[in-house]
Amino acid sequence: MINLHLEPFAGLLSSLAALGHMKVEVWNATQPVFSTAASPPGIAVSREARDFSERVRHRATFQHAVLGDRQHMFGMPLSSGREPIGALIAYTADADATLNGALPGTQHAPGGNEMGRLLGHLAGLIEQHCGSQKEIESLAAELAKALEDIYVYSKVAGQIKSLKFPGHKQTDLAEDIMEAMRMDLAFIAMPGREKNNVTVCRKELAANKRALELLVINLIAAVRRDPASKTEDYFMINASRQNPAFSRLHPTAYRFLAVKIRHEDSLYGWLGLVSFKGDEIFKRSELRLLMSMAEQLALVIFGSDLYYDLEHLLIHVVKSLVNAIEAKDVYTRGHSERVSHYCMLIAAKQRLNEKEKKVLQLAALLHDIGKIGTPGQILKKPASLDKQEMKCIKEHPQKGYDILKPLEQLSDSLPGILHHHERYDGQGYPLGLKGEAIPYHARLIAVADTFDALTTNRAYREARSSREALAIMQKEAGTQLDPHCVAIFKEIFNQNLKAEDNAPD
Amino acid sequence: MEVNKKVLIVEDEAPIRRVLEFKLKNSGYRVLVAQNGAQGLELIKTQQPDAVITDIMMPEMDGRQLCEQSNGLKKKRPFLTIVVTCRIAQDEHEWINRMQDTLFMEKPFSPARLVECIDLYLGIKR
Repeated sequence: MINLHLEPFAGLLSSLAALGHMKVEVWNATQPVFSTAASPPGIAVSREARDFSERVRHRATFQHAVLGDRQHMFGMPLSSGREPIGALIAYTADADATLNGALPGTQHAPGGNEMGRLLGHLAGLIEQHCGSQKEIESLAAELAKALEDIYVYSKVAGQIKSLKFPGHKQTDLAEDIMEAMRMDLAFIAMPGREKNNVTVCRKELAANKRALELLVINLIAAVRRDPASKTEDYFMINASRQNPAFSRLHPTAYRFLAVKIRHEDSLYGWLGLVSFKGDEIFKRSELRLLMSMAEQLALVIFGSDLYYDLEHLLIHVVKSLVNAIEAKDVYTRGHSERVSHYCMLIAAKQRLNEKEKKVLQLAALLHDIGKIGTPGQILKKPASLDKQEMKCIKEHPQKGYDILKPLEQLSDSLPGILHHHERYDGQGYPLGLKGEAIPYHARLIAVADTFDALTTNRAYREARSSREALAIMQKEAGTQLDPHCVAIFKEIFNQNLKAEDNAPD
Repeated sequence: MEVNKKVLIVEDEAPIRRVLEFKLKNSGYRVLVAQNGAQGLELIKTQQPDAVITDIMMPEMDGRQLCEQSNGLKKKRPFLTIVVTCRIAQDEHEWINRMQDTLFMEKPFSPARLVECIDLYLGIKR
């Protein structure tokens, strides 16, 4: 029912009633809601008045009736659009006396016309006011809904921005979504990327967590079986009871909404909500909101996939480049890969972070890339090198640096490459840096490089055992090599060697 | 459901005022409206609302002054004050914490949660 907002008219109607010696009433569809004689519910209602107000509403035009002896009733319908919502009624004791000698008992008396115009203007005002009130109310309702959505979004948007897959933050995200949207359960389900999956539920339901996780698995399976899931971006069950495939998944009634997490043609999975509150249904705005969150999620996943792919592409490109160079010399084949492997063992032991590991890995893989410019006969020469040849070999760190310098992704790896032939005592090349002035990665690569050179066959000598190599390196600690790095390296290899000794041959 | 409690909204932005008024009236509250802190303080004194919702940044008298000047009245007759504000700064926390029966809600806020908050304070069960 439409509310009549009469507060602003109370004064006007009362003054009019006093001036015209009459009583004015406003009726809604069933009863008087305002009277100049009394305030509701104290308004006296006569059968005649009820019938008259109904007649006014029904005929939807101005009505005039004479009651009994000399009581006149005038009525003007109130409508909202075309719908009659009530009536404005005026009662006068004596139409003659109050309205300039109008003839009693006739509907077209001049007094009746005057009254009709007056009531018409008043009704118009009331209608207009009620109309704008109604509009304001519906705008306020809209705005309230929008504010709820903005609230939910602002709670969740920040979380999405800082999300990284897989990580612990998706649990926080799911909890925020569940909390903000007042659900009992929220989940992210990505078949094939189980690490990303998360199911959260309200604390009160935590005891049933297992059963609820199973419910989510079954829900996703049921959705994937449903042909509608192929074409639609979302899946909604407002009353599980009415759908046999879904009602058997949980003993009590629930409602369920899942939206696809997808980017272009890649479907990553589902973002979903479950509520056990039976009396509500999912609103359009909730669907829209969840969809836009799923869209953001998909972008995060797409982005991290892309990043992962690029990283791998870079490593693969680097490795094939290195392979191409090492193909020139049978003795160094696999050398860079092994040096990189040793460096990664050190990195793990030293707990370097992921970024630093990557930088070191690339530097180790590429440390000899400058040899691409060294003639094959020098590299493969079995005898010792003359002065000219030595000079040529010593150019390779600088050459490697120059070759890779234009590649932005490798910029952090360049110091390790340029300085891997520096010596701890400052007698190395290309710059003769000393001690800690040599970049840390370069000192690590030098150790790994030396170890691999000693333990593989060379044109000029046979490979040495790991133990022998470590003993030689120990002697070089402090002169050629950083003693600290050698110590770490020895620790790693002693563990491995012990394991080897204990292993059956 | 009719609730025989008065809530005062002190807010200079008409749309927010309307939304709160609509929400509270729909929840059965009687609603008083003020457009700045000075009007608000006057209504707190004359009408004795059971809860006050106030913005911080307003002309005439701001929300902080309103809270500080009405806080003394709470000793005799406690009422709830909810300060609705954009991202709250550390020093805002401090003065709000000094007030009796006063809490804050960050914008963007949820009108439904705001009503729940008032229900809770006034012990209204729906």
